[in-house]
Order: sequence, then C-alpha cells, then structure tokens
Amino acid sequence: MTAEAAPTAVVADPGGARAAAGRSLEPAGARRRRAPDGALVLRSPRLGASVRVPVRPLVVTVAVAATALLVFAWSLSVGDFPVAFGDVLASLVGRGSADSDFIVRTLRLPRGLAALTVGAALGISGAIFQRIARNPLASPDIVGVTAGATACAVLTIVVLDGTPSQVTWGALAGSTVTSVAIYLLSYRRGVTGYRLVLVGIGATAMLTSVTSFLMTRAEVYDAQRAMVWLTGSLNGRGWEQVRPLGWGLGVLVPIALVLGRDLRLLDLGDDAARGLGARVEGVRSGLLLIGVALAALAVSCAGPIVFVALVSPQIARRLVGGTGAALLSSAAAGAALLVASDLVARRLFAPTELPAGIVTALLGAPFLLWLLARADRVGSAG
Amino acid sequence: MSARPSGPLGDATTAALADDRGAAALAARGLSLAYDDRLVVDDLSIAVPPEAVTVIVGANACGKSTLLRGLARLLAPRTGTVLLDGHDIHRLPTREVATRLGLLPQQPIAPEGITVADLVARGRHPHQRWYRQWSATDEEAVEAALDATHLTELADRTVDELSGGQRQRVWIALTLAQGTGLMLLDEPTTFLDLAHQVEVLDLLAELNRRERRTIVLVLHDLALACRYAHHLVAMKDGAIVAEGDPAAVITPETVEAVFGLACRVISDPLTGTPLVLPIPAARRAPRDAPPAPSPVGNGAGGRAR
Amino acid sequence: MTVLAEAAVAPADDASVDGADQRGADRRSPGCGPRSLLRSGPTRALGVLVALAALLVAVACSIALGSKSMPFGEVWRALVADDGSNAHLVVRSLRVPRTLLGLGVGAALGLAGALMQGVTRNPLADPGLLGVDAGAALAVVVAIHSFGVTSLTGYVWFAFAGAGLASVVVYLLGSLGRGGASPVKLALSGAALTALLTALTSTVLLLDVQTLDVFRFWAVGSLAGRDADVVAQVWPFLAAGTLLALASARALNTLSLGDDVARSLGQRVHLARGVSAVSIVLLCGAATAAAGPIGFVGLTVPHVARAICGPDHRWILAWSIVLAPTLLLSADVVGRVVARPGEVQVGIVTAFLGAPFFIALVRRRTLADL
Repeated sequence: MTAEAAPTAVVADPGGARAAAGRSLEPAGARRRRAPDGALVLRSPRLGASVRVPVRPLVVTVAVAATALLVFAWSLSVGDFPVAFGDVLASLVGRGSADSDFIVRTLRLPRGLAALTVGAALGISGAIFQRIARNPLASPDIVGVTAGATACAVLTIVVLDGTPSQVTWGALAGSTVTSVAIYLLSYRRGVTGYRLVLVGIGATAMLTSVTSFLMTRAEVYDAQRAMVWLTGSLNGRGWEQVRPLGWGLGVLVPIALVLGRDLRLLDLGDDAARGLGARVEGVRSGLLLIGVALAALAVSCAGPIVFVALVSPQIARRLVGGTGAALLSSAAAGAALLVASDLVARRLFAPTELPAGIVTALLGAPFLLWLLARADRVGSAG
Repeated sequence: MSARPSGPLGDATTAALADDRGAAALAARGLSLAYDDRLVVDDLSIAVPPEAVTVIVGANACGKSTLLRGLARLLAPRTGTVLLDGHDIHRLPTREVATRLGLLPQQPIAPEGITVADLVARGRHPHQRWYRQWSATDEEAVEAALDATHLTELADRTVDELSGGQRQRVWIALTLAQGTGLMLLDEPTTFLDLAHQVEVLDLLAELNRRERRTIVLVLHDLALACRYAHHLVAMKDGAIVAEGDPAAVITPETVEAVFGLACRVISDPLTGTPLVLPIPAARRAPRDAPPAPSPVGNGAGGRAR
Repeated sequence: MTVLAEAAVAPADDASVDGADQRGADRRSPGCGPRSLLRSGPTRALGVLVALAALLVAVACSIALGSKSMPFGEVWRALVADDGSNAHLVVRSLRVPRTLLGLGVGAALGLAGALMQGVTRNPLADPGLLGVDAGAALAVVVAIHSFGVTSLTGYVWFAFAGAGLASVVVYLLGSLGRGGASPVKLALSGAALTALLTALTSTVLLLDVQTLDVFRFWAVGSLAGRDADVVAQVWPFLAAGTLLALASARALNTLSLGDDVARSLGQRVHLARGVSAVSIVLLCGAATAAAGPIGFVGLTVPHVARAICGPDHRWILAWSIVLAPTLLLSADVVGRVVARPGEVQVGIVTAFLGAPFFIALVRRRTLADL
C-alpha cells in the first residue's frame, strides 16, 4: 500500500520522497531555509537553537521607519523660519546660533518627536485592538479612552484654565480613570468583548455630554482652545508632553512584543489557541491593557487623532503581506503618517496652522472608501 | 509496550511519543460542567481507552461538545477533575498539556490569506521556544503531517480557496503536526459531504492504527460512528447512558432512550457494525405488536462482528 | 469615531477576555437566546399601555414644570382659558410647542434608531451612521459662517438639506459595486463621510471664532427656544417618516433573517432597505434640524425595547415610539428644573442620565447577549 510505504520512505530518504511527492518545502540542497510563513530560518544544530527572521516585515518596517525619520528631519528644517539643514545639525549638537537653537530644539524637535511617538503609540494600539477583535474596523475608542481624555482635558482648559502641561496630565488622568471604570463595569465573571463595547458606548455618551456641557458654559476663547484640542493637534507640544510618551513607549512596547508572539495563535480562535498552549486570557488582557495605555498616552499628548489608530495597521498589513497587523510595522506606519500629516498641517495654509487631526481625517476618509472598494472586489463585504 | 512503532514523524520523535502514548490515558471523575448557571454535564465519570478511537454520540444539546471541551481543558469544571496520565489537567502547565493533547474545535478560524503550510506550522507552537523557533524537527513534523493528510501539493495555496473537506484536512494536519498522543475532535465532519466525511474518518482511523494515537470524536452520524469507533459513548442530558463496544451499545432500546427514535438495528452488510434503521412514521406499530418483516433480510438479531 | 467602533463590532465576533465562553453556550442551544421580559402578545400590549401612561406623565410634567416655577392650578387655567396672563404666554407659546417638539423629536429618534439597527442587522448601529448628524452640522456651520443665519428657524432648512445630502452620498457610495448597499459597506461609507464632514466643520470652526460661539450651542441638541414655527416646519417630515417607518416594520422582520432568506420569502431586499433609509433620513434629519444633534437616544432606546419585547420589529417600533419621547421629555424636564432659572440642554441630560441606566441594563445581561 502506498500509504504504508510513503512514511518509511520519508524517514529513510527525505529528498527522494519529497521529489516523488512532486514538490518540496524548499529547493533541494539550498543552504538557506525558509519557514512556511516566508521567514528566513537560521539554525545552529550545536546549540539546538533556531531563529526565524521575518524578512519582508523587517525590511518594510525599517523602510517605513526610515521614511518617518526623513520626514521628521525635513520638518525640522522647514517652517515660517526656514533653517538650513547644516544649521539644524549644528543646533542638534548644541553649536548653532541662538535663534536656530531655539527654533529647532525648543519648538520643532519636541513637536516632531511628539508626532513620531504619538503616531507610533496609536499605530500599535490600533494593531492590538484589530488583532484581538479580529476586525479591521476596531480601534481604541471602544473602551472610552478618547472620551475620558477629552472630558478631562476640556475640564482642565475651561474650568481650571490649565497650561498645556496640565491639560496633558488631566487628559491622562481622565482616560485612565475611564478605562478602569469601564473595565470594572463590564466585569461580570469575566469580560466579554460585546459587553465591553456596550459599556464603552454608554460611558462615551456620558462623557461626551459632559464635554458638550463644558463647551456651552465656557468663555468663548476657552471654548476655542478646547476646540483646538478636540480636533487633535500637535501645536505647541513640548518636552513635557514628549517625555511621558517616550517612557511609556519604551516600557510598554517590548512587553507588547513579547505578548504578541502568542497573537499568531489567538488568530486561530480561542479554542484552537488554548489547545495549542497559548494562555489566552492572560495574553489578551495584557495586550488590551497595553493598547489602552498607549492610546491614553497618545490622546493625552495630542488630543483625539484616532484615524491613525485605524488606518496605520491596515497600511502596514498591506505593505507587509501576511495575515495580521504586525505591531512594529504598524508603529512605523503610524509614526510616518502622523509626522507627514503634521508637516502638511503646518505648511499647507502657512502661516495659519491647521490641526493635524484634520489632515489625518482628510487622508483617512478616502482610505476607508478605498477599503470599501477593495473589500467589495474581493467579495468579503456584506 | 510492544515493539517501537515507526511513523511519518521519524523514528526518534515517534519513539519519544510512544512512551508517552502508552500511558496517555484521559479520564474524568465526577465531572460537572456548566455555562453560567446552566448545568450541562452533571457528575460524569469516563475513562478514555488509550490507543483506541472513542466516539461520543447523542442528541443535540446533550452535552457531548461540552464534555469534549471539558476534557480538552477549555472549560473549568464546577466539580470533579479531569485526569491526564493520572494528573489533574488543570494543574499541569498549559504548554505541557498542549504537547500531549491536541484539539480540533468546532468552527476554527483561519486568518485571511494564510497558506496551508503556514497554518499547519502553527501546530508546532507547544514545542517551540523563543530560542528554538523553527527546528528541523518542526519542519519534518509539518511535512509528515501534510503528507499524511495528502495536502503536500496544496501546501502553498491559501486556506480560503480550499473546499470544506480540504480545509478540515488542514486543521487535522495542524493537530497532527502538534505531535500529540491524544487527539480530540469536536464534530470534524459536520459540514462535509459523505465522501469527505469518510475521507476524514478513514484518515483518523489510519492514524490510530499506525501511530497508536488515542482519538476522541464527537459525531452526529450513528452509522459512521459505529463503523469507526472502538469505544462508543452515548450521552443524554449531560450523562452517559451507555458506553462500550458499538455492537453492545447500539440497541433499539438505547437508541430510543438517547434519541427518542423508534428504530431497528441490523448489522451493516459491509462491516458488520450496527446500522440503525429509523422506523418510518407510517409503519410505526403499537409496541406489543410483532414487527413487520424487514425487506433487508438480515433480521434484528444479526449482530455478528 | 465611536460610529466606526459601533459599526465594527458584529455580535458574532465575541472575543471573550475571561470567564465563560459565550460562543460555546450559544452553540449548544441554537435559537435559545436570552428571554425578553414580556413574551406574549397580551403582556406586550399591556406593557405598551403602561409605557404610554408613563409618556403621558412625562408630557404633563413637561407642561407643568419648567425653569419658571408655577403652581399647577395656574398651569391648568393657562391651558384651558385664554386670559392673556403671563402664565398663559409661557405655557401656551413656550411649553406646549416645546413639549410637542419633544414628542416629535423623541419619537423620530427612537424610530430612526430602531430602523437603523434593523436595516443594518447591527445592534450597535446609530442613525448617525448615515452621516445625518455630520451633514446637518456642516450645513449649519456654513449657514452661520457664510450666510450669517442665526435664527433657529433659519437653521432648520439648512440642517435638513445637509442631512439629506450627506445620507444620499453615503447611500450612493455604499451601493457602488457588487451587492448594492450592504450593511458593512453602508457603515464604511458612513464612517468615511462623517469623518470628512466633521473635519471640514472643525476647520471652519477653528478659523472663525464667532461661528464657534454660535454653533456650540446648537451642537449640543436642545429643545429650548424652539417655538411653534419650528414645529410647523418639521412636522410634515416627521409624519411622513413615521408612516414609512411603520410600513417597513414587517419588512424589517424578514430582513433580519438575512438577505438570502428574505429574498426567498419574496421580500424585495433593496426596495425595503431603500424605503427604510428614506424614512431614517426624514426622521433623523427633521429631528436634528429642529433640535440639533441629540445622540444616545437612537442607539439605546431600541436596545431597551428589544430587551423588553424580543426581536419582533413591530413591537420594537411600537415600544421605541413610546419610550424615546418619554426619555427625551423627562430629560428635558430635569434639565429645566435642575438649573433654575437657567437650563441644561436636553442633549446633555439625556446622555448623562441615560448612560448609567443603560450600563446597568447591560450588566444585567439582558442586553449583552444577542
């Protein structure tokens, strides 16, 4: 019986049997091996170790990150007071003229870094939510992060007449309290995604009403300040905003990457993932927590610019190929998207500065429509 | 244990697994399983015979899927324990359980755009570590699994473009690649046509025969269940009504008790296993009247195996 | 972007973070969903009568209470007799039209929400998904900024036009390509257009602080200051929309079984969806035009209705048409009473008081399973 013969044939003569089967997982005799998902495999038989190097995702991430950094560098140079590139470099090192030092190091550098870090944080947060919900339209808004941050930020602006730094901390406090409250309210012998969304909707509505109330009771110029914050803007972002975000990214992203290794199993459904040894609840809760924390940090710094969280994972996924939004590539895409949008927002109607949130919405809306058209062609819509 | 079995996984791996498999008994004692406040399985005890094919049958919502999920450690029991090799399955590390027990759940989700080989490769996860991400053993296991399920030609296709039967074989290949001695499958044939159902079940029977894997299935089709099962478990309302050899379990009385179906049981002319024939409504005679002569000719008594 | 979040999460996609696996439970007993509160026809009819009684109480309160406290006797006299007194003026020309408007707007929002959820088969759909709110807002902002309109009656036509145009665009975009206007495509195009329009609105508001100063009061949704003229402007649309909505009830039941089953039952799917969409635009557009964007009612009242009376859309519409105005009028009364002699706008109170109630319902599990 061929069935009987085939297994032993595989054991005794791997190359032959594979050739007999008509195809092979790798070209016979090739030194480089590839794992089934396309990653390069490096093996050391002596150590009994092997490592998968996902080539395409890595290349794409590096390329997109490089683009982001290039745009960032460019943004340091352009503006109402153009600074030549050589002067920019000099100022970065601390040897430029007083003027260009001020412009570069106090105004543009923190703003550019804010754009990069906020974009990266939103990108990862969106990727986490989309992977866990297995839904390309999921975003951190669901748990009311944005609404909580907004309500507290507007409160700080309108009632407490806070400085930008105080507004940031207020927003952070608001989003933290809101997320915790929503989690606790949806906990009833465990948290199901659906209940979380419903509670999130309720909480968001309530907090939005608070925001609207404050907007109607404010002095008109306070209302205008609040309005600027509400559209999502990187105007005037300084080092006090960038630092907490930087720390947050530095601590949370590595944890997310470690937990994210099990995401490949979660993609297969809860039961299959558990059967393969993934700690489903732990990984999911941990990742959600990190996603919420990153979104909270990002929104506190720049206001609600949520299209980035929705769109970056999709961009990353289409560039990288493969089966799910990858965390690092989404971060790179988010950073690139936001730093480019901020540059456009700053320069499009110079000297008037638009909020970056408007530019991302103007870019994001057609992208959504494109997703619509694509989904229709593939036939997976409806 | 008899002489070392050889199998597609290569001698070393198979030998290592064989020692596990001999003792890979799965059992439950006094198991109660519930969803929120609804008790589905109540005080059930079962011992899954090693190296045999066990099939669980029963009417809809009798708790067979729930029992399987409880055995597979997907559901925490309200009371009672599930024992894997004599240890409480909920105390064992998750990863270790995953190297001994493989599960094919109902309606598994294949990520969009994933290839067959990639999906099957994910079955190797319990054996991988952060420093051992894709070893030669992993590669061989995946190849062997694809070979055993006759999917080698399809290895580069995306799972979305395959037929239902092929997709099911991919999931079985994944469980195979996991290299476990125990395989639990929750209704693996439900959405397949007859040819594919037989194909899948033949594959499982072959795996059991050649590699001595213990297989536990939930099936709807009684005829196929009787054909392939070494040990049949009939459930109703969260309890086991009868278990054992199919010929002993499937009697008109048991079928009536479990399914509420009046029937006659004959011996399958091809395999000799029990074949259930529902009595047509028009012909259902009052209980103490002698049954009308059956056109099959084998009579209700033939149960030779 | 909650609009997107709502559209995104389909009920079947239930990622359990911890605890019992809901999918397992539902798989086990097909068709055995959560039990609604009232199960038989007679009990449901009785329930509607009780709800109607509650509505009448709300109406009475709305006329009797307000930011100017008035003894009941005086209110009654002002209603029935024409004595030209101050009380008469307040009651007849302020409170009565306001109450009528509250009834109309509330009923419209409730109906529109129920229709939206039925048409998209998504219990998280909100009438704003069709771009109605965003279109109305942009139109009003343009009216204030470019045409210097500041009267409420002036806004009405602009808002209605904006709402209508936006929905038409959303519907057209969503119907492009194969399959016509399916729920997912409508959600995507609605979200995209809403984002675009909101961005444009924000741009204008940021560039012109005077417009912001006027607009921010319209944007919260309020029944204040709307007199009989406003009511007269919108009631034909409300009436037309209501009639269309009630006529679609049966079609919604068939649609909820899925397009294929609906077609095999003889239902003309696209026609039914189109009629419902027209009704939603009429109702929601008129309501937003008259009172500004009031969220939350259209989303949560049908949920509550479904939890009470089950998935039959005829009952859901009946309950929504009674519950929503009760909620709105009660919120309006609270807003008038709580901040005397000023008021808190109804759009704020509805969400602020309604949300905790909604969350409590969600926790009781009657809403969470679907």
